[in-house]
Amino acid sequence: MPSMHEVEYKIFGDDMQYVEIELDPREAVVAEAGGMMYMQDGIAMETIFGDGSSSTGKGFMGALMGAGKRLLTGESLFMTVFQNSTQQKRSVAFGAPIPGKVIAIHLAEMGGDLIAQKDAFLCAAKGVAIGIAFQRRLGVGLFGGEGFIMQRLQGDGWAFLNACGTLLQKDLAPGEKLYVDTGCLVALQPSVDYDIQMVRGVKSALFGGEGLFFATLQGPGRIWLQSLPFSRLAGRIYAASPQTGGRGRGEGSLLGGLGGLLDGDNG
Amino acid sequence: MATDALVFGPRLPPQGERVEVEVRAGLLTVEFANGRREDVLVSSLRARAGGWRGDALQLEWGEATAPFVLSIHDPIAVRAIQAQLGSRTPSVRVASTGVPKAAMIAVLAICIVVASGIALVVTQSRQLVDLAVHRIPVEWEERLGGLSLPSVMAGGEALQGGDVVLAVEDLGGRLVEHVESPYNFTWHVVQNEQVNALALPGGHVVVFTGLIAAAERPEELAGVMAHEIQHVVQRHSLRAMVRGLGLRAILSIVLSGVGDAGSQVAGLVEHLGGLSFSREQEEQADRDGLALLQRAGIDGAGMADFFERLAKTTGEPPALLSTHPASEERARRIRAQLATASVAVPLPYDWPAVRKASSSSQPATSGW
Repeated sequence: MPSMHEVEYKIFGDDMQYVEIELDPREAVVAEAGGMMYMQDGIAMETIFGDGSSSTGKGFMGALMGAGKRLLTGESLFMTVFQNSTQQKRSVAFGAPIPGKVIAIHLAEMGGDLIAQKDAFLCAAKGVAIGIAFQRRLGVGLFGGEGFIMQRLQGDGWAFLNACGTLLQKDLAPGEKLYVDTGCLVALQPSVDYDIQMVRGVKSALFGGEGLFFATLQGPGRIWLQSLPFSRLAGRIYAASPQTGGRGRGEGSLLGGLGGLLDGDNG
Repeated sequence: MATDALVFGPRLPPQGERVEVEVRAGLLTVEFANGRREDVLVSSLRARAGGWRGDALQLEWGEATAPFVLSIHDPIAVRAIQAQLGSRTPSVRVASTGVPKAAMIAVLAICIVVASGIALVVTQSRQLVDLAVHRIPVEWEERLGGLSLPSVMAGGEALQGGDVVLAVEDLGGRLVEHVESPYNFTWHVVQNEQVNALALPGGHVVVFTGLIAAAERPEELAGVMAHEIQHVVQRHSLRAMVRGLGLRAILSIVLSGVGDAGSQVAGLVEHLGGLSFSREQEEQADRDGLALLQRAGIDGAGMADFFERLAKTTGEPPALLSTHPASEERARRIRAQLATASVAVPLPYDWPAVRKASSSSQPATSGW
């Protein structure tokens, strides 16, 4: 596919990563507006409506449709294209907005089609179509943790996703099943069967803290899981923050709320 | 027709390989990227629905422990291959297009809510009310009127036939003859002591018998009717609705009238009857109503007389005046316009008889 830009990349960091992408002359990468960390001189930044892929390039209406879909997924309407306008190689870097791993996926290897959780996208080579896909299974849509709307990446270039916590990449053989917490799914190949199952036994639902539903994934295909759904982390942070009367429970302080007066990080 | 698919299986990459497949003459042909081809007998295929949202067709062959699986996602290809495989395939529910109906409806609903929100803000301004009203088709108005008619008619028994109805219909016909409008006017006489008349959107004019009994001359009734006709023709109730309730209300009434007319709609429709016209609209209806009377050759003094007399009535003010506030100024304006009056021909009704019929037409069942 000539419209696909073949970029080279390198991922830095351990648990809070960023990806540096090296662009050949005229090559470009698209990213969610606001994701850029740094870029070298000579890279032209252009804010575009839609995702800049040729598949949505059906004139203004096509761009409008793409943007409308992006609005539905709760993302910003605009994406930013970073294009190398010099005759030498130039780099641009994007930082993950959440603690965790950056996943680099070569879409051509995946058969050109990938379904991702809707806020997982970090950046992609220009030419990758970043669209949305609707879940059809009512159960998955309602209880799947991601809602009805997933992100669909199509094309043959590199795409970069965020995973919160530690990443697990797993290949499921035909018929192989895996039960997954609904929030832990980052991405999957469209050939993977994705359904929702209710947790058996009310006791485990009420006291297990895992919620009433989990996702059932059945091969064939590759899946990407994150160990820490961001909402879970956010929930802990919220519960622990002084404004909500939270206490530094995790630190095991015997002083409890009083400890907050002494530990000095309440500024 | 060859189609793209992913194939998984022994000695293939774990994330699958993109292949082209084709079904022809009982044979499934899989063509790999390197040009290698593999043919599988359709009769040996095990088919099932799969994929992340259950709309992919997955064909399996080979050993049960380590099978090859072909996953086809394109809905058109799925349908075509299903047709070729015949009854052997499971019921893969293939979506017609990318977006499912529920999502479409949700999006549509969001659009309507957003649009009506904008409309609500926008309708504060008069020009924009005009613009909005202008875009509402006459059929919608008729529908609105038709929906709200029963609640108005509930005020009393509707008279069918007889001198009173004939007189009202004839009078209405005389007036409408001189009006250019897309509406089919219908006249209703409701037995109710209130001195009142109503115009509903779409051309329903309801006259209460109390009004007929209170009119000393047929010209007085004609005055009120000409006034009501102007409300219809100038779409005053629609304007009042757009201003008061917003476009959303009209949309919901018209749209829900199609399916289940819930209690919410009933509430809105009742609201329609309770809408009052603005002072400006009343003046306009007076002015143009009077002009209509003159075009029809009916003495316009009846209109002024009637309003004047009602304004002077002591005791509880008649219902008509609560929605049609009479004032010295209003009567003066009508009289001033009357100065340029043309020749009027008296109306040919046996008015005392009509009045008597209106005032005495109490339900016959009320006495022995």
